[in-house]
Amino acid sequence: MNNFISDGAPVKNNVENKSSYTSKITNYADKIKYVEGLRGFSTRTTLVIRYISYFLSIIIASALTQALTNNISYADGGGFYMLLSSATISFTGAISTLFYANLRNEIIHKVKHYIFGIVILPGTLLAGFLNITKNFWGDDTLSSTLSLAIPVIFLVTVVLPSFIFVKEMTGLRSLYKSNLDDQEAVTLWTRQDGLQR
Amino acid sequence: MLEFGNALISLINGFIIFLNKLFSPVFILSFIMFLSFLWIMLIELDELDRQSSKPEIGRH
Repeated sequence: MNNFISDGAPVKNNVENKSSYTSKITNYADKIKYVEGLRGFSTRTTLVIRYISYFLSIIIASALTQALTNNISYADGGGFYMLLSSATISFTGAISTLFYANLRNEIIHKVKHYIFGIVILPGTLLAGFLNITKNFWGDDTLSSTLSLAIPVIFLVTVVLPSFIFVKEMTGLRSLYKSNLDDQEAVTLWTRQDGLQR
Repeated sequence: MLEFGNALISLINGFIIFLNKLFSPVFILSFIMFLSFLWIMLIELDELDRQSSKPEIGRH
């Protein structure tokens, strides 16, 4: 094969890699079994099942929220917004792993924290609370204030985190950038800042 | 001929209903989320593979 980018250094013989699809899979499985034993298979199976359960739990929580916020003013159709938020967060996270490949584990942890810790579980709880309290409210000032305030909390819990997540991911490069100028940084690193005395 | 026309129209109606269901926002969002989770899952599987063995360097 003509490789015009090659620098002339010896290249690994790639003939063994040109195997069929099935033998690639069996080689992969053999390698897992050789290195990790049967536990390697169970680890990977658990991971796949965990992601399936993530997906299903988001769908179920959104459906539950949609049912609980039915006919509640300013929160009607909350389950759809929950699904929209989760889809936005997961999609932005998946795209961000392409741009920040060195931070991909942190991004995955952040996606899970945002979806389950901020949007899904508190949002479903709030939807349940909205559904319970929908018959409480009378015509007094406190009731009208509270009945307006709780849907706002729902909005802040379910809709806003997706925007914040997108902002966080798009600003990831500048987040990790130091604000020091070169001279300040060098004086700090070389301990000429006067702090050593 | 009439039966044939009715059957054809019901098939077309069914196809249109199928398309309407298929391109509903909920389905599209679920599909996007499914693809995103699939990608994230593949990354985690790759991380497991990387942890399980030493890196193989093809060149040099």
